[in-house]
Amino acid sequence: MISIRYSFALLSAVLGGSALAQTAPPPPPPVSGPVQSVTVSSTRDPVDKSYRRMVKGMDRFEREHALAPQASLRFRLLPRLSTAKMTGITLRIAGDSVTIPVPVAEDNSFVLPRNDVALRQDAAVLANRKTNTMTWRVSVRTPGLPDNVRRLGDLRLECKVGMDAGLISNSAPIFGWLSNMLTDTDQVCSSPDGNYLFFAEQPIYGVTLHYGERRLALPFKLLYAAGDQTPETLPYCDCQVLLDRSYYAPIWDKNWPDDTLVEFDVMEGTP
Amino acid sequence: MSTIFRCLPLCAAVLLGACAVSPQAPPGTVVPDAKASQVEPGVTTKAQLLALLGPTTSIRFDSGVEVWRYLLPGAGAPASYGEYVVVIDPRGVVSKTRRAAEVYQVADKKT
Repeated sequence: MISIRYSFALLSAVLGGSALAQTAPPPPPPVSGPVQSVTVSSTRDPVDKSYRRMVKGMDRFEREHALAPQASLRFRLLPRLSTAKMTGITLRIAGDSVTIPVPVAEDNSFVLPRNDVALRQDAAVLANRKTNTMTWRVSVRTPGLPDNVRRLGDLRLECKVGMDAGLISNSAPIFGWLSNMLTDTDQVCSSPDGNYLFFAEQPIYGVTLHYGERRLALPFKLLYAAGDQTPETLPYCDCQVLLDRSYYAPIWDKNWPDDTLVEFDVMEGTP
Repeated sequence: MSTIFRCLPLCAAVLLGACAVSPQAPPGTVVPDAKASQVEPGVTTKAQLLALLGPTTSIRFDSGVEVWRYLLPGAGAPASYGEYVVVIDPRGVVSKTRRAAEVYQVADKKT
């Protein structure tokens, strides 16, 4: 299996040389007069999250709330590198003239406030961490379920909101047309090949679907990012340090209703 | 035609090719249910597991934990199979096992 993220990285690597060669500017002419200076207060890292995109995800949550009628929406920061310090994270929405702090809970989840000015200014959502040390996900949780149980409708909505919110990073904006093809929300969330990866709270060794009298275990190939990651491919997967918690849920399969429960066998007693 | 546009078909081909030939996990070793039942969590070591059931599809995590997946002969259609999953702790001892007589079939998933 090749993940969306890995595809982008591969494509970026293949195209990088040509794109740079094509877009390299000619050398500047000699300067004869006084040099004008421009102060740039901040620049947006290509993988910082777009406030507009995240609000688009929030809009999707409102439109399709019926998938998870009891649930509320939060976003969540997760470690991507083993060196990531996941305590004391601060988050802000940064536009041209507006900065809005976003409170981050102990579990590194947060609610993104709506702000018209930030929306107009195409603000970025920035954390006080290097962007490649963390990954982002949506958290849609129906209350009252045990810690080791999720609801399939919640996961369906997480996928749709996460894709609309642009939580899958694309570091090669020149290929936006291609990224759109690969990250079309409805294609990703309704296809077995969509490969939207979910993370459990703890390392897992089994996932079972429950609906009424029906019970069915997910196969090994739906766990651990398909179980075929190698040391070479793993750095391109945002599951890098969460591999033992990762799984694909059959969100595309309408034979399993939204009220299907997804239960995890966790590796308690193992580090 | 610019370099970038000449490059696009090639890149698309590379990308699609990569998708088509992306490595798949080995199918796993088929073991009789009775033999799998001899594995005892907290007792059976990795070496004993290897001697009893043989090598199979597995994954090792940074924590040192390994998960091995065996196939159990299916009771349903000829192509069906169950799974026997074994967790080996960092000390090399089986800590958990999971048996599923039938597993979710991902018929349409290409990879």
